[in-house]
Amino acid sequence: MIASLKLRRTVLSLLTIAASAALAVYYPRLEAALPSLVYLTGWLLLLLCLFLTAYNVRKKLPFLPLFSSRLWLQFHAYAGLFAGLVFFFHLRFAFPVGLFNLALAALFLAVTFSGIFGWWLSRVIPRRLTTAGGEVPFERIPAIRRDLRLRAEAGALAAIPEAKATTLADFYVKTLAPVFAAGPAFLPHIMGSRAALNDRLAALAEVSRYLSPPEQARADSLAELVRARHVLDFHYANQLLLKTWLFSHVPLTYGLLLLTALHVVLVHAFSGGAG
Amino acid sequence: MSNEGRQPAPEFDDTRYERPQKDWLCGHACEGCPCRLGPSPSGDCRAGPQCKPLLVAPEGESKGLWKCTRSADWGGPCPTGPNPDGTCCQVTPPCAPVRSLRSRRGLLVRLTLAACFGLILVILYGPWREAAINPGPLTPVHSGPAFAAAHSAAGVNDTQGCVHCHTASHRSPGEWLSTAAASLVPGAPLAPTQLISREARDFDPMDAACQSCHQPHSFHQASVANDTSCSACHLEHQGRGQNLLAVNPSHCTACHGDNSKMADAAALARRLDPALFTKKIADGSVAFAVARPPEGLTARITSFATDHPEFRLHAPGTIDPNPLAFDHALHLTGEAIPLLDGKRLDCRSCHVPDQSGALMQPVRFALHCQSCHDLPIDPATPSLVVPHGSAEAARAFLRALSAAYSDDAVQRLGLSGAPLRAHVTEKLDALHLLHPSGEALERKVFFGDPSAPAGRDSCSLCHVVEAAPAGATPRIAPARVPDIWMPHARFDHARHTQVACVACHAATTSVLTTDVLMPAKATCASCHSPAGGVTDSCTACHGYHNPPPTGVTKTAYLPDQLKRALASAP
Repeated sequence: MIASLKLRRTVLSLLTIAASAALAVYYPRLEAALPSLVYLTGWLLLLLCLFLTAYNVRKKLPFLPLFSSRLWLQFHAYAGLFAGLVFFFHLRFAFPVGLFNLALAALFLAVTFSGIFGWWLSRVIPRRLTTAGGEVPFERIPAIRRDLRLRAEAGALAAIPEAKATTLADFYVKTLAPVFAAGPAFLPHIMGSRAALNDRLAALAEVSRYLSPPEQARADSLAELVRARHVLDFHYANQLLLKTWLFSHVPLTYGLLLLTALHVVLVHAFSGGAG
Repeated sequence: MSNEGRQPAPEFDDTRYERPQKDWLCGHACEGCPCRLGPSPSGDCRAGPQCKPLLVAPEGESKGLWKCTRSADWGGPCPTGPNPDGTCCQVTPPCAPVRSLRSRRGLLVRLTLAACFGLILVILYGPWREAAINPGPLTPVHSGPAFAAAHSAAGVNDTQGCVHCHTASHRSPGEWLSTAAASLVPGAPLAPTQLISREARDFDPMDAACQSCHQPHSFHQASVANDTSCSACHLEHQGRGQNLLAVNPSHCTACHGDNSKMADAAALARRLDPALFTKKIADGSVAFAVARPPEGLTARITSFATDHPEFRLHAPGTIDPNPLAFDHALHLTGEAIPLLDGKRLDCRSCHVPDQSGALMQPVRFALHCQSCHDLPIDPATPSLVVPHGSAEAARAFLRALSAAYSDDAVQRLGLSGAPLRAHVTEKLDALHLLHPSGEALERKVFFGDPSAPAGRDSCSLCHVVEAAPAGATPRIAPARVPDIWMPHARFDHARHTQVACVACHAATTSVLTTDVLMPAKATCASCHSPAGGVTDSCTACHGYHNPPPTGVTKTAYLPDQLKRALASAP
């Protein structure tokens, strides 16, 4: 098997393009030669769907020597794109008619587009996370968030005896404590917004003018913690999105398989010769 | 490597073991302080005392000190020790465990499957079953209350007449499954080997339903070894506006492009009665007759432009058998041809489309010829003309000229009595000067004047006139112009009006009636080909169904098995 990811990607892209071009070029001839071509494209589509679903099964059976998950994912992505093309040939580029067929086609498109969306996310989000820095496992985020909060509270409290003033502590209680105590905002971080961070840092800079030198040092530490919390929330939101797009793709896939099974039964039970 | 302004990775306790693959997570996990034990596999909180204190008492006494037994994994014995009552002082607060993301996804999968399964049950057993599984609207002729009333099966849930074609439709879904499985076994219509076959599906049980209304089944040609299923060509459920007659030409070339099938058909054709191949045409119509080859029309054809044979009316030696003498070139281009309504003659002067515009009406003497060829016998009385259409009538007219002159004078001049009698006598005398006898006049009318150049006033100008024994009427061969030149094809002049007539019919150069002025294949293919851009579908000209000859019905026809046996016989 080709070890290089890029080379494998290139090879699979070329293979997918070649298969798609062959299908597009030869389909009219096949259509003229094979009266039952629509059944053949249907079976091909079913096989592709089963292969695509097998990736999820493969992930549940890590002990089996069935190539790496990364390799499966690559095959899954390119086979999925090819299946989308076969789907349109199976429909003969006509709008599906009939309630059941319409539901089946809508489900297929939903699975396909959710897959493409997920593929796009898996290419974009890791880069965004790397660019932001502060890599952290998703499951550790709540503990780190708590740790940041405790450290911020401790820093703010420590400033009171050092400066013999409560300016920074009051500011923390009024402005920063709710931020550290609250859960992460999802949408602003998905959109890459830094407005909230800038507001907090600006507020901290504003209050810094009234702080004594010991408090200034604590305020600088708090600013670092605010930045860390922002990055942590950014990671949480993006990693959550990376995990939750599968909430649409996987369930819809199994639903699609179930309806496809009924479609196969209906077609064969009602098709001409089977009467 | 430089961080380039990126936030460093935060520190965390990497000795802790997270359980993302577990179904349940500690309820305190979202607060960042999950308990070390975590929930049970069934999702129950297992929080409680961190140890079970041990009572250390001297031997023989019931009182003593409680000793902490917390394990090293939990930090070892706690500094405060157990409570005085022997309970642990380090109690982990209980929580409400939450599902992990993975577990939630699995739950959503199961819910989706349950929803889809429920949807399937509703579809299969609900009142909208037929509407839901219908893959598309039917054409109006195969749907609607009248169709349903005529074809619904009594006593079953079939309100749309589905059962008429789909015998499985009113059965239980379990039977659908067995029916579907049966359609996949070897030899069944949808078996894998059949799917990759180039042959259209054979005549199958559903076609019996078609034939119950469309009787008798119009077979294609007697030499076809297999009758193709109706549904192979006529696709239903494609929408109410679907044209069931629009057939993919690939269905035709599947057989006509296959040498072996054509060879089988040719072998069969040689063994069958030629009468079976008689083309049925509309009553009263005359078709241009071309001998059918003994092997039938079995040339291999894959497309019209490339290997469709030349039209058989252009076979060597084939002539137009019409005995009428007509010079198309002279009439269209001759300088001596008089103008008609101030214009030169053109094709439309004589060839007028029928009501549908598809074919041309027959050329009629009275409508298209008589204005020039009006058969006068007396230059002084041009209104007096020999009747056309019957030699006997013409002869009777010539033998009763006095009555003809009298009628003409009454109608045209309003004469009567003595003036009328004088007028008739005068005319007959004048005619007598031109034609010394009645026999001479008849000879001139039927055979023309041998001493003069061919005029426009004798039967023999256009017709073959055979002399009869003395006293009998000469025989005039009538014109025989076919109504249909190519009975195995159809043509619609109305759809070709943008093309000049002479672009297809070489009339301007034809001087003989024997010339077949139908276009050659190449003429048609110049447009009807991929290069020409106009459809070259077989069905543009040909129909698959061929009504059987009179007296031959499908039931009296050869069954498929016998035809196959005949074809393979030595």
